Amino acid sequence: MSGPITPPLTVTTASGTPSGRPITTIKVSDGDLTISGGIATIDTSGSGGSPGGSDGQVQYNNAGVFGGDSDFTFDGTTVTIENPCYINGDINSVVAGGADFTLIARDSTGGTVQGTISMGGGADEPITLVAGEAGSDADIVLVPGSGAGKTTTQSPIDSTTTIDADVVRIGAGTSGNEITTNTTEDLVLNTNTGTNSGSITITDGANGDIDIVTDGTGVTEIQNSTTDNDTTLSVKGNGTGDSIINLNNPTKSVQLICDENQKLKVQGGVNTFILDSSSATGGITWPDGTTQITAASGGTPAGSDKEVQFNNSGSFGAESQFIWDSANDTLQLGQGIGYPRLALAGNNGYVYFKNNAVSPVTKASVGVNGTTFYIKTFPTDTERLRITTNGEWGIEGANYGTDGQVLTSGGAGASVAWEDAGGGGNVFNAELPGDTASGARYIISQSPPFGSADKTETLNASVASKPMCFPFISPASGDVTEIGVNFTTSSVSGNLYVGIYDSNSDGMADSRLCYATIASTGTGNVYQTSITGTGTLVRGTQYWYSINMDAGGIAPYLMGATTENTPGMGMGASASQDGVTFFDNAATAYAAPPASFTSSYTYGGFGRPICSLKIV
Amino acid sequence: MMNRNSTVYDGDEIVESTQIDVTWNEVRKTRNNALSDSDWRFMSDQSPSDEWIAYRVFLRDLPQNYDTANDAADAWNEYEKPE
Repeated sequence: MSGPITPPLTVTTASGTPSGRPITTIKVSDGDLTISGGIATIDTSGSGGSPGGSDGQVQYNNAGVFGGDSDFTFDGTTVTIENPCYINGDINSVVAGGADFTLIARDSTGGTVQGTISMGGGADEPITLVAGEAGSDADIVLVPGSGAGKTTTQSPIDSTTTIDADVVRIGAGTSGNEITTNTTEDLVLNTNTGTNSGSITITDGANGDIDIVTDGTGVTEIQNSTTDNDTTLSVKGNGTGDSIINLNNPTKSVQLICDENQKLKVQGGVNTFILDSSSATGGITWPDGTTQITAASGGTPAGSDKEVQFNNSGSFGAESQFIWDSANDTLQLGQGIGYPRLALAGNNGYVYFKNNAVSPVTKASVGVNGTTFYIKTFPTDTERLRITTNGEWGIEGANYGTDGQVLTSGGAGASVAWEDAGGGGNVFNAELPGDTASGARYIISQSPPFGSADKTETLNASVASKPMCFPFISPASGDVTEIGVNFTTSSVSGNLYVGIYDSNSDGMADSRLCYATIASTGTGNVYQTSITGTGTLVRGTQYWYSINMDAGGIAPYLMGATTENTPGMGMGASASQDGVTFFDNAATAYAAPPASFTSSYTYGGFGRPICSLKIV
Repeated sequence: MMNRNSTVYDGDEIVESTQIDVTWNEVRKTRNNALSDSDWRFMSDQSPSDEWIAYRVFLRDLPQNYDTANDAADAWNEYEKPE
């Protein structure tokens, strides 16, 4: 003990037996009281000291003495904390009557409310987050963590967050309320994962629109993700009223309307098509008010199969002269005498041909320009020929040539051209009547201008080992169907070849057209109808006929003209030579007439044998 | 000689074999040609054979010896012309 206890010190009561648990020491040291021994009761009434700080300030141990602060006050109603408050545990609000528990942010003590978090105190009460003061544009922002453990797919409301509320309301002001995805990610509203029959409902407020807005080439798509299931877009009304799909742009619109009478209307402007599906007899009503009940009422095609339909005084009409042959992709006009007819109306009508099988597409046409008829050819529809109402022929335009000019071939790869006529002169091309009783039999050995009516000579055919040629002008056009000669004397065997040749550019025998093999074992007129090759002749055109035997050592005689009565060929070694025929000296003796005459022409003095042709 | 035969072949097959009709005018014209062609045999410096003499007589008498031109032509055709 450092000194005596100074009175007044009073012991008022002592009970029990203190001897077993005596107070052994009472010590005051630097104002601290220490009692050692048994349990002591110390009455400090009247000696608790004074609270720290100012009125209303909540007391705290401030280094062993009462302390108070203006940032932490209680006025009997409200606890005010002016600085950050750290709570290491729950905040439990037990409010009588189930009133809300609200955290309010103000701009100053008791000032304007800047935002609230309000939690309802009763059953089924909402939690309300209010941002900013009334009428402000403040957002509610949920900020996720940024630590290393955060996955990139997480967001403040991530895949593990469940919002159990029946209604999630976005925004309360007048500005647009949006759910915006990050970067280019899709926004998916999913009723649940896995099998679920729940639906997604987008509900507008009173008279509000629900817009699905795409951008650029984006499309609005309704897709059934389950394979082979129907996909349904339902526009559902409620009670009376139409169901309408509006297809429109800023200036034009078409509406698809299902009205309350189960009629589907396609309505654009003043025109309305109505498909009445309310009954089997509803039919289709056209904009002009007419109604078609069944497909049959649309009429059946007129006429017969393949006939093209046309309006025949208000009804379907067809004609047997107007046919579309789909099997051959052919439009056929006319079938009988006087047909086909194709009338191109207008001053500049034309028929256009396109060849789509090549690229670029080539084209050609025939038509009229005013009173001029023209033909334009591939590939670029270039005019090649025009014929005027005066009968003028224009080559590649208004090129009608001059009087007396003739059309001349430019050969392969060149167009024809008007040129001055040269050479030739008049060619005998009269079509003399043949022996019609025997089927147009012409005696070409006698026909003008090379023929001779003389038939007094008997010609020894044995000298004709190689084809001897005689010119003739065909008196008719057609095919040779018979060749005939006259044997004045027969041979015991053998045949006479009679060939028909065309002329080359020099007018000489050129290519064999046909030939006959005629037995020389008979006398008189002998005709052969079995013709080898095709002898197509053109009236007025010069050809050649040839004769030669198929074997030597036999000597049939042919009726013919004497050399004096046979037109000369003008061939020979001297001016007085009398060649009236020539033969192909390079040909094989006693062979069938060669396919082509060579230019190994050798003149001869053989008279012109009688020869007849049937030209049909 | 006048041969009235007319034969039409189709290859090796004879499809028609007839005799054409001739007129007296044709017979006379042909006969006259034949006589002219042999006149040289009766020039003063020639000595025609009896066969040629008979042949020319036959030709001259054709019109009076035969009733029809066809008969005359056929007879002539059968007559063997002298060498």
